[in-house]
Amino acid sequence: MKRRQILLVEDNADDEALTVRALKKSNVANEIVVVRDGVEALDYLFCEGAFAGREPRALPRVMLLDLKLPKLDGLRVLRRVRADERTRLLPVVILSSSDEEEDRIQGYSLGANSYVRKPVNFEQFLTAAAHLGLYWLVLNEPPVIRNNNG
Amino acid sequence: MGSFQKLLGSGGFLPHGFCYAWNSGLVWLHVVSDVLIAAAYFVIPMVLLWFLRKRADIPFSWIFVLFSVFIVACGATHLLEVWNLWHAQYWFAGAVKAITAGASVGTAVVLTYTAPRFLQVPNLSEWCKANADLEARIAQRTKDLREANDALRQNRETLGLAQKAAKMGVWDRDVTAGRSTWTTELEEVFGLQPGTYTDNSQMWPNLMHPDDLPAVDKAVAESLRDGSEFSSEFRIIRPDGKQRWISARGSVIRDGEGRPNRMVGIDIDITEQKQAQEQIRSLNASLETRVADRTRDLSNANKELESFSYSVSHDLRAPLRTIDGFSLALLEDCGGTLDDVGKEHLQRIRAATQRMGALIDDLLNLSRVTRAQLNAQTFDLSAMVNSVAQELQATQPERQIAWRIAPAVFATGDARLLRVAIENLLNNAWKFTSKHPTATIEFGRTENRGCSAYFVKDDGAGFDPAYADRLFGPFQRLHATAEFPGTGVGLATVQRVIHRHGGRVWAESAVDQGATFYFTLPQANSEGAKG
Repeated sequence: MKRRQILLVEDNADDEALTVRALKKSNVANEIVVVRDGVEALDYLFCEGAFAGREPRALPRVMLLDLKLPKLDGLRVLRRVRADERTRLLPVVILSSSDEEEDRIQGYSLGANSYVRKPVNFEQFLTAAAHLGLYWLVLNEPPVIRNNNG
Repeated sequence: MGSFQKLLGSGGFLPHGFCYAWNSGLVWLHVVSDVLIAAAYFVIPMVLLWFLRKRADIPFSWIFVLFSVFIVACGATHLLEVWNLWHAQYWFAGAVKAITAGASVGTAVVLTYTAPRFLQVPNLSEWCKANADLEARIAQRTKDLREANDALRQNRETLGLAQKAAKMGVWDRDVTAGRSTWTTELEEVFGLQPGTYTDNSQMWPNLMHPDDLPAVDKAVAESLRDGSEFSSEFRIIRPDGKQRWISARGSVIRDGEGRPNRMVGIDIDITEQKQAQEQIRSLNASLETRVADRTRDLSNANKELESFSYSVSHDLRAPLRTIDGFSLALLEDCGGTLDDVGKEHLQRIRAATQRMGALIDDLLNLSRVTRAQLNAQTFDLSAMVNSVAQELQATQPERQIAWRIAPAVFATGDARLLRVAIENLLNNAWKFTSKHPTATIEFGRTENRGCSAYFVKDDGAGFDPAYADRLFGPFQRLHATAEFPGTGVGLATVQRVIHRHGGRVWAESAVDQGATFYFTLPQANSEGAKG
């Protein structure tokens, strides 16, 4: 069985490169799909717009969601994801530079499964990515998600 | 005719002189005596009547009339005695005597019946005594009256002065007659000349502010209906056009059948109080507006600060992460082509970015302390200090620190913010004792600078007291970073936390003598410093 993808929603190319690097270094073998803003993230999840014909149509194993995003910010994306029957159980990890309490409270209130602050120190970031990979891709048993898209 | 002639005639009798044998001496003795008696008898009634006319107050004056009649009659008999000495008209003299007898007997009878009543008429000495008593009583009464009058006048003067001083006046309204009386002071309150208030039906409405008249009329009617106290505040317009505020109070007085028939009360000029009230109200209103403006400004400033913090938190950290991440990537991926100098440079770049990251984090903490809501509660500060100390000790279990933490020291304040302060203070003590093989860190409560203060004391490096005032400024450091690492924001954060609680924070130290940090937490102010 092919491993399900990781959806990384990140507008900053540097952060994207570092996150991908950190995940790879932590031996994450899943394909990492990167989208640049909130609208693209929703298009990908619901197979709409540029992703209307994507295959396979399965939901990703986990979505790593930045909060500060162009067009539609991370919290709005999360609200839409949780409001939709198809995606409401999708594991979502907020990956953010901010450690503002308000962001954390809102993130959890809207149904985030986890909130990870991106540290400045890349070694710490590596540790965080390794833990993330281990937890969400190996230890965590995902819910059985009814897949309307195929 | 015959009997009349007989009455006046001598009838054949001899004149009386014959009886005296015309002895001239005897005859003249009788003549002179009778004439003198008759003269006296005619004079006495005239004097009596004259006296009666002069003294209308003499009681029983009709008795004197009776006396007069019989005395005159007696006088007449004596004159006839003289006449009959020569003329012998004895029938006529007898008739006159009979009349005299009637008058005498009548007077005697009347006098006999009336005499007891005469006794009731006081005699002169009694009259004089009664008179003197009366005069004394009148004098006493007059004196009493004068005193009463004086007292009344004095009361009236006092009342008048009091009314004037209080800018008030008294009114008295006869409800049945529809008449009112005003004191001159009340007239003065209403700007009227003394004595010019009349019950002219137009006068009162003209003095009233037209907007207030209906309410006052209603209040008066209500008091009269149920006998309740009358109380009202209204505006008047004086004849000179000036508007004044009046506070009126009155009581209803009832007649014998319990019907309200009179109202008495006072009117007080309260214009000055009203103006003062209005001034206070407008000052309050402007104060409230200013507070609202200030609150809005503050809230705007807070919002700006929040968005600034947010962007610092997000946007300033992202490039640092990139620099650090790619420096490490460079080391890992191209480590083979870099010599040690190149690797050293990259390490310095990484150290600087991490320091920058720490600075940003500390700054964010500082701004968070400023923005956070205060939730004051009383808690065990000693327990908090213990917990922070244990965490610190766990980072370097090998360090020999004697913790002397006074038990059960309680504080009232925001526990979350105060934990930030305690963490910073203990961190400081921990850091500045790190060069000593063993150290003592104390926490407790003491008297310092005249107040009860909490303290954290160490026996570490200390600082030069000359720079004590710079200690709490952000980014102010008294030691080189290489010697003691830090961003210089910790104590600024401590000060911010304590100031938000309305407390004070200060430090005492000398180089190599350790340092003691004191802070106070006034409980009364912990609520007021919210925001």
